[in-house]
Amino acid sequence: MMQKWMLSQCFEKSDGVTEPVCTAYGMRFLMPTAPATSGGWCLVFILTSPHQMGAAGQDPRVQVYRSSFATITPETVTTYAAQGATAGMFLGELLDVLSGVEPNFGTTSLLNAG
Amino acid sequence: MTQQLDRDDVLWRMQTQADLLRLRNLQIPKNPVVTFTATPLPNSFGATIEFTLGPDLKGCSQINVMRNRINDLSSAVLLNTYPLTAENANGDFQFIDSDQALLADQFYWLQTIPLPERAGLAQTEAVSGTPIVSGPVTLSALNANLLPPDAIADWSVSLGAGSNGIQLLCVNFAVPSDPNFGSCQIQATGYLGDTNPQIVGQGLSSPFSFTMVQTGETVTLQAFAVSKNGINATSGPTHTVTLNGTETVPAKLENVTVTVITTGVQVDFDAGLEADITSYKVYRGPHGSGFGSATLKTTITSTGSRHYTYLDTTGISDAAAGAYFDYFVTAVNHVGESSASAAVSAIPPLQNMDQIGQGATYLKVPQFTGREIVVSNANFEASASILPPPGWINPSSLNLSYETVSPDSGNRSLKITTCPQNSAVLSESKWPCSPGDNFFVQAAMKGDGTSDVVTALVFLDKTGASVGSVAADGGAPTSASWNIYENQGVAPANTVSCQVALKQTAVTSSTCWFDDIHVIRQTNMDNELLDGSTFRRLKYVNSSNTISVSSALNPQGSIIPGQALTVSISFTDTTITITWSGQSLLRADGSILSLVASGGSPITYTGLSASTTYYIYLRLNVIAGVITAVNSSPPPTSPNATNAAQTALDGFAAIPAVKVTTQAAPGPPGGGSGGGGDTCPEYSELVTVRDKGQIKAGEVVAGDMIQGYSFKTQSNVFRRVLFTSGTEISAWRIVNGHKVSPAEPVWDGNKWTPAYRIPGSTFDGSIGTRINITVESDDFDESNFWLTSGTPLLIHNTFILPC
Repeated sequence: MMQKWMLSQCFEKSDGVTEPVCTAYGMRFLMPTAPATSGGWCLVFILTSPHQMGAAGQDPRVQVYRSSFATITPETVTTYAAQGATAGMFLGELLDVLSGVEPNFGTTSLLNAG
Repeated sequence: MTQQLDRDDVLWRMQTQADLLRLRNLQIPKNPVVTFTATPLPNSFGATIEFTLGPDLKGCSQINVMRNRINDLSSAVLLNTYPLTAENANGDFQFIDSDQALLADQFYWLQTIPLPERAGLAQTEAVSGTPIVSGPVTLSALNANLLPPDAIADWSVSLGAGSNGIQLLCVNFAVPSDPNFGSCQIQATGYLGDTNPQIVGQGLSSPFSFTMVQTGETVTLQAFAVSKNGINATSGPTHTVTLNGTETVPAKLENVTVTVITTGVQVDFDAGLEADITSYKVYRGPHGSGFGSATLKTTITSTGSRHYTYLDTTGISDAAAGAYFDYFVTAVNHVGESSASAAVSAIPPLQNMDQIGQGATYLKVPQFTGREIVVSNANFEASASILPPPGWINPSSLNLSYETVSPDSGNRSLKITTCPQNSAVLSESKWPCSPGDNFFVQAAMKGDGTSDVVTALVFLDKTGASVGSVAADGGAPTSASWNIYENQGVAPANTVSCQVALKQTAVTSSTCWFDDIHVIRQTNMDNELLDGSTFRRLKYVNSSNTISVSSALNPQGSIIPGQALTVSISFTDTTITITWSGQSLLRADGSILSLVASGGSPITYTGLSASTTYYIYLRLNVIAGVITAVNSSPPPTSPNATNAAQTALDGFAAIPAVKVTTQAAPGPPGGGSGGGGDTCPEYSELVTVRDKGQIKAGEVVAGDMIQGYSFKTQSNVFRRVLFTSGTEISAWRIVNGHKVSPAEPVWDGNKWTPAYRIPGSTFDGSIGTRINITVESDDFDESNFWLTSGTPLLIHNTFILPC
């Protein structure tokens, strides 16, 4: 298993809780902030596997960042533009910016998260 | 005539004579016997042979006691030998010749055997001298065993119908236990006009018969025991009969015996001699209640056999606690039924020394089946007269008696009068045991109120020394009523055996009573040892008669490790909410723990600080199946060891601490999860479960046996489900009509492939519940299972590819 960031749309569970779609492609996750609007996107830190990342790659509602040096997608730029996201940024750079606003973006491990 | 000897002849003869004198060393034996008598034993068979020896045993080797019925030593029987060593000089010797009925004259001899001598010039030849004989002492039969035997205690007689002026009389009698008994003699008074008693019949054994003339007289018959030497007992019971040709009921049966065997109570009796007996009836009743309280158990048709046996298979099991039955037998002819035989009690025998008591029990200690009854209700019912009681020893010569007034059970208890401190009556048996053996001891005890009365199981080491004990300590009971005391204990190190001791512990001697002693050894845990239906925890009775449970096995220990509970977390800048779905976990005993979904009762913290990390400590109640937090509200902001420890207290399974950092500012809540599975089928997919058939995956619970396939054995198998949980997701793959998580390992007929790579599989973005099913992998590390609707699909072999 590996811990990766995914940009994901969300759905509403039967109990009303907003859940990232990408949870179908992993088991333990952290979503620092939910999307402000229905159909919006959010970054999710998730415990996943290569097969699951492969499957997620075929889901249009999920974008997988396999590396912190991956250039952020346009959807990511749009989602976090207000927090400082700009086209061409690496994921790591974006997380650095976001963690300055929201501490959970600075999370480096899910293994002690319960 | 003068014999002329040459010089050589003279020298040779002188040499030989000298040698012989030297060899004999002048030890020419003399008869050492000074006195020699033979005296009949007064109350039994045989005689006492007594003799004394003088001071000079020189040249004597041994003395033999010989006996013969004729005056012939050469054919006499050697009875005993005594060595004639120097220390036996002037000694008195006595030999009991108990193996002789002395019905005829006997001759006794003492035969003194000389030491062997060496003969010949080379002293190589051993020569035994001629024995020296004392006797014979003749013991006349008329002088032997002149004492009368014990009287016959009970007998019965019946009359047959007169025929040709003659009546047959049949006699049954109780054979006395006196070994001097020889026969039963019937004397009649008033018979044939004679007012003096006259012998009319005699038999060596019961029953026997004889005839009398049908005179019409009413005569008195008296039964006398006669010794083997013809001596009559001085008295005997009588019966009066009228010799008028009228047939009577059969004589009362005597010598009925009962034997307690593993299958019940066996009743044995000899047939009566009456030819017209048609049947026998066996009755059973409470002990001591008499024939009037007995009920008929069976009727045995007379077959002409001389002996009958009946097995009462419920003769022990039907008896009330601590009680037993008396048996009676009657004989029936066309006239009627004989009087009942004397009561014979079916007391369970001392089958071995592990059962020094008899009867049922009201044992209070745990009735677990995994036990060995070491002492089963020792209530001193084996004998009313033998002391110490059978199975017990009295090494301190304590003053023992049976107390028959108000025993705790049965007919008597054991009383120790003026018992010194710690002087004990001990069980004769020492039962082997080992360190760590768990024993329960219980006894009913009374005392005089001045001392502790104790029934102790004493543990002994290999030298027989005490290394500890388990004592049912009665405190200082009074004699007013019985007190039941019990205790439990474990054999200490070096224990090799144990023994029961009955005693009192006060310095001042006191009197104490004991009854109903039980000792049980626990042999294994079983259902009767549980403190509930789920967890295996040992129960025992402590000294205060309280049932306790061991804390050695905590409930959470029964939760199979590695089962990942899934909790969901959502948080804002001021709140944290923890929820969970319904899940099931397998306990080690095979039972299921169902975790109830949080539903509308999640764990919620409000009023929290933004951008702050909180540590939340959750635990699962393994009885109620509820998740709770042990931390305060708000949760601690740094790791808390106390809270961490509290998650693992008895009755709870700890959940790893949840670390949550609140958001920095108000806004859409964040979320997360802990634990959980990653791949599995959708809730409605069908699987096959043993004993349940085809059910939805969402209905599978821990403990179910779900059908899978063994590539190793090329056959379907059932695998134990260890854990189930459900998680809502919104991404699926449809493979051959089955809805599974996107990366679910699927067997494509050749290899394991993630579902999304299966050719023809399609994406499904609907919201549904993924059922995480964790199964126990088999010996070949396979853990797959079938989705069995439509075209079956084999999934879930996550890691191991088949050979």
